[in-house]
Amino acid sequence: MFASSSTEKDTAALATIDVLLLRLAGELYGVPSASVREVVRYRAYTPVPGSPPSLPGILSQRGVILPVVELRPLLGLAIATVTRADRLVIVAHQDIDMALHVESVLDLAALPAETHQPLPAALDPARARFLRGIVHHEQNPVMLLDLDELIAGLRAGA
Amino acid sequence: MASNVLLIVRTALCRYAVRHDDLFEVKLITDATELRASGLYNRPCIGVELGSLLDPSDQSSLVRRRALIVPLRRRYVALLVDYVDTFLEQAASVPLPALLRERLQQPWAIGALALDDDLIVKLDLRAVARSAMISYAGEG
Repeated sequence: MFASSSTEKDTAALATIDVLLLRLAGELYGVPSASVREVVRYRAYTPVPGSPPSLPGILSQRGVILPVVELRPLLGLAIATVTRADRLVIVAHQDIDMALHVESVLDLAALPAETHQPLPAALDPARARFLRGIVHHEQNPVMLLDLDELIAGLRAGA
Repeated sequence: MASNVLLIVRTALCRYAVRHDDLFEVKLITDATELRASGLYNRPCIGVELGSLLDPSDQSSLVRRRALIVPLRRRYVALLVDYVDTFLEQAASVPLPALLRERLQQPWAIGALALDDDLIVKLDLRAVARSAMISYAGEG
């Protein structure tokens, strides 16, 4: 019994949250790496008339037409000019494939689950809605994107 | 009988694919007032710039325009474009991704097709013409 309890503690201590680290408006965010299919350089997409700012167009990636998701308007961040560091993170989650436009991509990381913290109460609720919490990577806070909520928000008209 | 012919049309900034079946005719004009000439059609005809209707930044400076004449019940709507580039027979277009399709604020885009390494949005010109007519009536 005692040994089992110790093993559980050890497992908890080793538990990690696997994410792709990316940057938006200078802040670190994490996307569950299990949902990431690939990362490609940003390229101009085809705008679709009548589409909302968070879903402004489409692009073809390996023959598949994907919607481009602009995270900045969703998260209430200011629009920025595109630079050479901009990337498209191709994500498959639930039954949805999409290309997330981000400012830059850093690396895959296994973040210690024990550093998981709830979101600060002062965070804008419009942004907090799309986040699961905060973990730390080399003492920097990383906001975890909630892909379920992101897709629900996009479907609902966020 | 419905045909599968698509026209690729060009505005100042974009190319779009449109169904030939949605058109009454394509007419070359040098002056939009030509469209209002009495006796041209058996219904009134209004002229609207396709590019700026779909994207306000898409403004053409050309004088010679191609008018895509779309028949509606009581009017014709002439959607003005810079060029008609290509006629494609049996071009394969695919529906837009569902996530985007569900969120369109206007039912203008109905698919996409790959052409010359570009993705081109396929339009429902009748839906576009109906929107143009509503906005024209609102202005009037």
